[in-house]
Amino acid sequence: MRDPAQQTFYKALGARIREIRAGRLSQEQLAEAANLSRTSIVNIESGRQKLLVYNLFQISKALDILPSQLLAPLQPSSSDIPDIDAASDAAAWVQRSVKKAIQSQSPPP
Amino acid sequence: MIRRKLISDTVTSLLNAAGITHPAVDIKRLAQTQGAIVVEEPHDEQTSGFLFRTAGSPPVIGVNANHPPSRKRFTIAHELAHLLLHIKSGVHVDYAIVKMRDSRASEGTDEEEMEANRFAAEVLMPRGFLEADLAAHGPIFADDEKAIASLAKKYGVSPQAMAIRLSSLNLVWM
Repeated sequence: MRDPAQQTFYKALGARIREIRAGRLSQEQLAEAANLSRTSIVNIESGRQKLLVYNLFQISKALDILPSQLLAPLQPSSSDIPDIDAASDAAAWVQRSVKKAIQSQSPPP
Repeated sequence: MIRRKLISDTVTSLLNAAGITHPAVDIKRLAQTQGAIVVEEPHDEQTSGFLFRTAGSPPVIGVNANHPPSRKRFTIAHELAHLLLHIKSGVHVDYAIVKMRDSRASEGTDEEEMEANRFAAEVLMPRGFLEADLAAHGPIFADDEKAIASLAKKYGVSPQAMAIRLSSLNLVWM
């Protein structure tokens, strides 16, 4: 990861994941819940490893938060969200909608 | 600077490619031709819609299901503009009440909102369509609420949006 902007991004994301995980789960527990190795969790938390959006969703699920909560402070576009209450409210709405969209795309079982 | 030429060129090529020649423009289908999934989900009044984009999966345009059809159409058009002109990745939520004087809103963001609104007006009320309608109907006066409302209905937009569009195109008599 030579791109400094990417380094900054993954460091911030990793720090956020660590901050939320600590006190709730151990690194092993998160690894197991998110279907990753403990080494991956260590590397992700330190910002040394990139992760797939899928992994991000798995991690947020394991931490019982919205994926957008992990990303919100890292996204420049979130700065135009008027206030915190509306933002978290909207985040839940976005998540519901995206879920619905994904379901509408997947073939019936 | 609003990129007027880019916006009108984008609208023209979208409509041409989809073979849309008459109102009301099927904005949902137009968004789908660009790979977007359009989904409606209820939320509080002041939230209009969002665009969600991640690499490797189709973009999602979310619309507040509680809004009337003309509002929803405008929202889809507005989010489609963000998809085509602005947002490369992440989530972008649009609120009905945009605090234009909010110090946190960068100039770039305001400009993107203005571009998206302009795109929405142009794609839902294409100049050529309106000119054809007015040529057939005869002149409309700016205070003729009935005529503007019936035109708005034909285009699936609010009467206010139609009034603004007509006057910005100098198509109404003052």
